[in-house]
Amino acid sequence: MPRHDSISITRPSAVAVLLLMLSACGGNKSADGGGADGVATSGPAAGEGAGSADGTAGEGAGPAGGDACEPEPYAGPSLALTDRQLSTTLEALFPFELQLPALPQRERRAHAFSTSSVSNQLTLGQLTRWTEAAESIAAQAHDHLDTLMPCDVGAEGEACLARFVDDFGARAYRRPLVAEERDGLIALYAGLVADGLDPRVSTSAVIAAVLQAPQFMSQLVVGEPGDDTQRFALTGHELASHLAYLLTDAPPDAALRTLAADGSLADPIVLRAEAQRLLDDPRGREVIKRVIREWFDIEGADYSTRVDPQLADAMVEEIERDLDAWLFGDAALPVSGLLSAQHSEIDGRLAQHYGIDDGPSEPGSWQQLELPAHYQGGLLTKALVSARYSSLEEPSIILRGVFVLRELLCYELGTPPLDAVDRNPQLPPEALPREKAEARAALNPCGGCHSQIDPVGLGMEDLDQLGRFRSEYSNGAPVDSAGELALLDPPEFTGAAGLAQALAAEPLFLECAAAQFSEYALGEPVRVNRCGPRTLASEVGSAGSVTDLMLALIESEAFLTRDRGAPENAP
Amino acid sequence: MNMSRRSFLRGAAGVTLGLPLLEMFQPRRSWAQSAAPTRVLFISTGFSMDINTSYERETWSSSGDENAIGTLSTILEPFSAHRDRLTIVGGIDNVVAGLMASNGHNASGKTLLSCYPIKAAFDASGNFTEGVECDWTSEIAGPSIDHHLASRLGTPLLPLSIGGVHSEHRMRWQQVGDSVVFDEGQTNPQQVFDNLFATAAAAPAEPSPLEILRARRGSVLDAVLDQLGSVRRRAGQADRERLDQHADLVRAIERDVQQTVQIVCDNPSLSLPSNWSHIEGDLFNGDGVYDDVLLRTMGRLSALAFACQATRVASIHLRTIQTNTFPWLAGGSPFIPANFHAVVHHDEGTAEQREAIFRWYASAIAELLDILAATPDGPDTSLLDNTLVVWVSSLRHSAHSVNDLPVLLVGDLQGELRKGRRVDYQPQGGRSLGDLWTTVLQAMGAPDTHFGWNTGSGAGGRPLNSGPLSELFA
Repeated sequence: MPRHDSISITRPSAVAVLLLMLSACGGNKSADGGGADGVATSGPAAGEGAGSADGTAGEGAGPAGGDACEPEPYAGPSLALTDRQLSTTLEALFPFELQLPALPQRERRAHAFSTSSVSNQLTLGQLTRWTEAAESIAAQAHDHLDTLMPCDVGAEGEACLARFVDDFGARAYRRPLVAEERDGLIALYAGLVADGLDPRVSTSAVIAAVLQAPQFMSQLVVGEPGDDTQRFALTGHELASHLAYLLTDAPPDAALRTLAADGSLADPIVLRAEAQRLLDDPRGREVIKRVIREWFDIEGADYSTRVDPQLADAMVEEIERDLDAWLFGDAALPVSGLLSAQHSEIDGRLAQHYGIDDGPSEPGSWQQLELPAHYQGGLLTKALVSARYSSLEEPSIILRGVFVLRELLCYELGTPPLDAVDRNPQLPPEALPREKAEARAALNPCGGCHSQIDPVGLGMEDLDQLGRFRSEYSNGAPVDSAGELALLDPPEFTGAAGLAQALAAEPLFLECAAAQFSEYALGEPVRVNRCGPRTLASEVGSAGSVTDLMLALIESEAFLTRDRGAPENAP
Repeated sequence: MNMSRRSFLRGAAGVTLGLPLLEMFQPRRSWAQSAAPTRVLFISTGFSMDINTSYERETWSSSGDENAIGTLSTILEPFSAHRDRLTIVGGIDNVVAGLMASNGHNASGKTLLSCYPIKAAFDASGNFTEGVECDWTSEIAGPSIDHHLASRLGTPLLPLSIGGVHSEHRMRWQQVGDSVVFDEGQTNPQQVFDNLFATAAAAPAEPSPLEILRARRGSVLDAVLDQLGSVRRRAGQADRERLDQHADLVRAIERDVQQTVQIVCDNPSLSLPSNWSHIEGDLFNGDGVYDDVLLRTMGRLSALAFACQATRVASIHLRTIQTNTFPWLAGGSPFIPANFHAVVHHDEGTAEQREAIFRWYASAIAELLDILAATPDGPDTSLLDNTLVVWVSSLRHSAHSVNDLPVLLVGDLQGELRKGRRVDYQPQGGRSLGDLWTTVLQAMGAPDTHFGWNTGSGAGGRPLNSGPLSELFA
């Protein structure tokens, strides 16, 4: 398929800067060949031109220079069950109290979602631990076989085991077993019994095998048995599984399983209704909030080593309450509200912290109010988010700039050189952040990237390392929070709230949000200038909420269909 | 030789948890006549061992005459009681790390023990390309020295890891058939103990279902591979790759099932402190809050595993370093104002703090040496007499330097190696890590003439291997 280098330009100056960025700013690590990658400069609404190279997890190029684009099936790896999802699945499978050994916590990679494949790489250590856990669970199941099995395997033998495999196996794999899988498990049982093992213990061994099968550990999408077309729609069972784990972190409930089995989920109206039902569930809301916390990399953030426990707790609770108010219910804000919300819920401790005089006075006493202008930046002006991108003593211009570019605009920054930290110019301690930034910008090749990154962070200097507004530094020097971000129009802004408001109005932010949620739902990064996120953004529009985005995602081509890729022995 | 029971409680300031009591075993059945075998314990830490802003070599290695160990530096001073067993080796360079692009930590960490580039740097025909990006997901193309040595000796490696997985410092790699897989090691001392000594307990009259399932692990894993094969036939390209990796790991576990071990202790036991359940959930604590308790425990477990002949090769990898604040050095509060990474880079913290931290590593390892020295092993020797302890770090100092790495050897492997000296290869232009590991292999009786990747050149055209470091041999 031909590559399309034409970019729909709405801001000529942005292009010049872009080209400068791409040439000087480190290495672009995109897996698809370079070119005009990484940043969409398309205008609003349904896809103005701007095709891009083929490549990674699934989204293909648009047609030659036209207006519409053709969203494509997802072609990347299937989702592995996260630890949380394994836990709820085990709970659903085993109707008794399970003693689970502590599983190794998987690495939390900054800015990779808990569902991303990079967060769920299987290692020898983890798999060994899981093998031991599976044996332990199976041994416990041995003592509760009567609650698990519809018959007495001691008395009825293999016939009973076969019924068990069909029932238990289907619930474990979230779909009916194919003949090969069924036969393999029955053969395990038969072999052990022939070797003198007790039938009940042999049944436990089958349970251990099921729990270790990739069909259990991942949501493997393979389509209908016998169908080996390259592009195919998810089966009803696969769809039910993905819907349930995405929105509730748990396997499909009975209602969803029934719709999966009788084929109703193929009807988009039924699918949407089920998605809405799960989203209305409290678990659905928890998932959405967590996706946003992971996106901003504040999931599990705890600054009780930097501030007193009362404030540390309040900083976390503030996010919870605000997301509840902004995202759900009749007064739900559009996606842009994440960066432009004017109201927040704070308690007395936070009012004191932020210097808000007409707020609540008691710690623990929460009140919703309209914030002063310099705090009207949604999540970007929250204490917790400021703390995340700061050190103990001061905000990090660079980390803030990188976060905004990379995570809010999905711009691909390259990697810094090996000795970047050591090349950071050493200025006297009283030097202002702006002077340090200028020193970096003057260096070659550091300036190539830092002249784009630092002006973003500099414009946020009006909020300190704990998100408090300030107009001067501790040494009395005035804070100059004039910032610049070339991708905005106009590129200049003042202050963190000013930046947030400008980002909220920027179509690229909505596309980036769509790409981020897509990554959460699919497990692989999705490039922002791909058809998928652009289509999602145009469907959601500037008025659509995060819930609308999630629903649009569930109805998208990438969610509903797969591309198997080349068959194994293709030339 | 009578081994009296000892308790290893310590009342050091700042330790908020009681240290685990390791009860040693009853007098052994064997050893009466035979000499004990040699063992090797690898200890790896990241982020260097150097604090001096001018990166003087003296800060790590001691001053004095080139061949004698003079005054030990502040960091190494805890080893004073063992100075006669020390060999400080200077001028050992990691010539493989620089063959890849990296953020300074990924390549240096992953190549420290493996001396191999990443798989992605080789094409299907095995041709190597320099400068390929080594990021935290990159996989090394060859086994690490601990796994390689263990397989040479036919002994199961005891791979111990302390703290949460830090992606950049994935140091341990295992050859499984044709593949090389990352081994994150074992992090739970109780599980380590259970795995080692599950068969040592008196066999009960009727094995429990769990024991039977463990005994039949091989059959179950065969069935798992069968299930995997069935779904693989229908899977797409991306999933097939992942399923193949999964299958490799299952086969690696199967292989471990096949290795049998002869334990020679009666009634080995491990008692953990009463609040261990609190620590258990935090075993993978990324902030390293329990590192000191864990390091001491893992050290004791290594000693126990060696003494009971469960294995001859162990490795301990301290990997909670990125965010570690070393709270046990400050009565439970953070000892440094920011994460360790920033402190090592001199962005935060003071020189005194860095020195105290590096010195802590040394004192914890020195304590382990004391334990090895106090453990009888064979008719006339202690475990320390028969064990080589190797302590290395992936970086020299905070500017991500991979040359002149911190290398400390303790022990002489029953006379194979010379000890009590400082050997410096820097005046000669340095030697490679591959040469160091070849030396260890040969001292343990393995026939290897080189280690790691050996078909190309190191960074800057340096040789990957020039042979063992003959000056280290007795």
